[in-house]
Amino acid sequence: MGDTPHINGSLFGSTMTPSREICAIGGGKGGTGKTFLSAGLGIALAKMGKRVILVDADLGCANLHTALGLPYPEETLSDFMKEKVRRLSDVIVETGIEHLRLISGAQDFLEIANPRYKEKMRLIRQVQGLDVDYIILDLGAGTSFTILDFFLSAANGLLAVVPEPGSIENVYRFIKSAYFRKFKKIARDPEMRELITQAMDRKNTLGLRTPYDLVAYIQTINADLGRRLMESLATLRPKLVVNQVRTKDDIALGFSMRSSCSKYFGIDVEYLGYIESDDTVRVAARRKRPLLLDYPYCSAARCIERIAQNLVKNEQVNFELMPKP
Amino acid sequence: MPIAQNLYRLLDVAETATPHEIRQAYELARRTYGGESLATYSLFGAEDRQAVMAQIEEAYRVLSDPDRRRSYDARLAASGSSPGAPTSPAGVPAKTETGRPEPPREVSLEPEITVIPDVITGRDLQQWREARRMSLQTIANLTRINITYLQYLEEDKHAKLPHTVFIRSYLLQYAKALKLDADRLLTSYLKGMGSRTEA
Repeated sequence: MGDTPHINGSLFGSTMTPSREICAIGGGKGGTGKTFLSAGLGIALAKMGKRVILVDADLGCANLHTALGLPYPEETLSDFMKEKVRRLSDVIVETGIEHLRLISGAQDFLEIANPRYKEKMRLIRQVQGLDVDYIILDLGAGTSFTILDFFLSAANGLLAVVPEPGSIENVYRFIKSAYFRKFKKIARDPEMRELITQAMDRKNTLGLRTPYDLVAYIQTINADLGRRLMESLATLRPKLVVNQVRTKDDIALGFSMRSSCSKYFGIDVEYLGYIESDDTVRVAARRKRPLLLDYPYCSAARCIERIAQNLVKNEQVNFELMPKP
Repeated sequence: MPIAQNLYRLLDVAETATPHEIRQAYELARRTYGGESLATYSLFGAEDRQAVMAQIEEAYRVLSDPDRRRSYDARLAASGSSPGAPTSPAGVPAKTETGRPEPPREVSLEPEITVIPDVITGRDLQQWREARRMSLQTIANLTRINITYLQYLEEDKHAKLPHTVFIRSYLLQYAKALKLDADRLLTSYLKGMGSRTEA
């Protein structure tokens, strides 16, 4: 084989294989706009000419179809989970919006909200196999293993937060849970376990206060394990979307949260965008109509379009937007 | 906090940041860590915030001054390209680059590259710290190591310190707080410890 995989990867990998981007939208707390953002982002990307599939992964509490102005479809994720159909692509439905299709979530039975590991992996594998440009997973509230695993399976993990203490706390809790889910996968190594146990025993005398302190400490005493841990955690790069912003201070919250996560967890969080508080959102929701179709020029719709552009171009919110003290 | 080694990283700016961007980043940091803020209250206690703020003030002090920043950049480049080498021509103090002498206070605050001998003791640590006008409490805040242990390190009271594994970690963090070559400081101190134990 020699150098061949490398050459393929660097010269042709990015141009010849279709780029399939998976975005999972979570955030811990309910009501922060996960479904709203999923639908909006799906439409915005489709408008840009990208082929998009929205997946309602809020197992048990699915309502992404409503955000798109659709009735509950006949084929849903439930048919796939119950193995009525073999392939995930069999439950894709058209949305009436060009380039945008939907895999609607299961509403019907309780066990689906907590699928067994095998079922979950089957779903994740097939999601990864869908032939489109963008796959958007609308995750439910909370930090269950199912939600965390969906989140971690996506290259782009988006977190919706509103400028309120409860929502911010939950986003941090979500990041912490995802962080330790990754951490534990590496920490199964008995040698690592021993180190962690030792460090936790002496947590205070060592001055370990944050998860990053622990990783940095492990690095000083076992460079190899430390490096593996760092490499694994470096792949956790959540993208923040601050919803319902009313002031410049609300916008600045995204920058502050990005900085806090870097210092506390030692991970890079990106500030993907914010959505201005806009009464039109409620008007559209009551009419069960997608905001970006019926009110494309309102401020919230424009914010979502900017988020879609940032996602495609891999950019973040411009620092110039910082309010003056 | 261990992440603090790089002043740019501390301020969340790129190494190419303009003075205006550095100023903005500093203002954001003050807004974030200067008092209790929505973004920090659930992650950091008051003490943690103060420790972060102390590091940020120091980062801003260096990066907001063109001369100090140049000198820091040179040291950063030197440490990045050859981690083992404590000195480098690029690390020559900023005053010769600008052509104008700086007041002595500045020189002692921003000490020149320290050459770490092969064998060192706690007394050396203390001298380097004092040359930087840093109190033991400041080091304790920066490294989050219990101040008593730091004192034992400087007084060479090794028997009172925990296991060598922890001493190593303390020394690495101590070196980073003083912006000294951590690996070399560790090796030299451990050598010093070894020779005295055998004696």
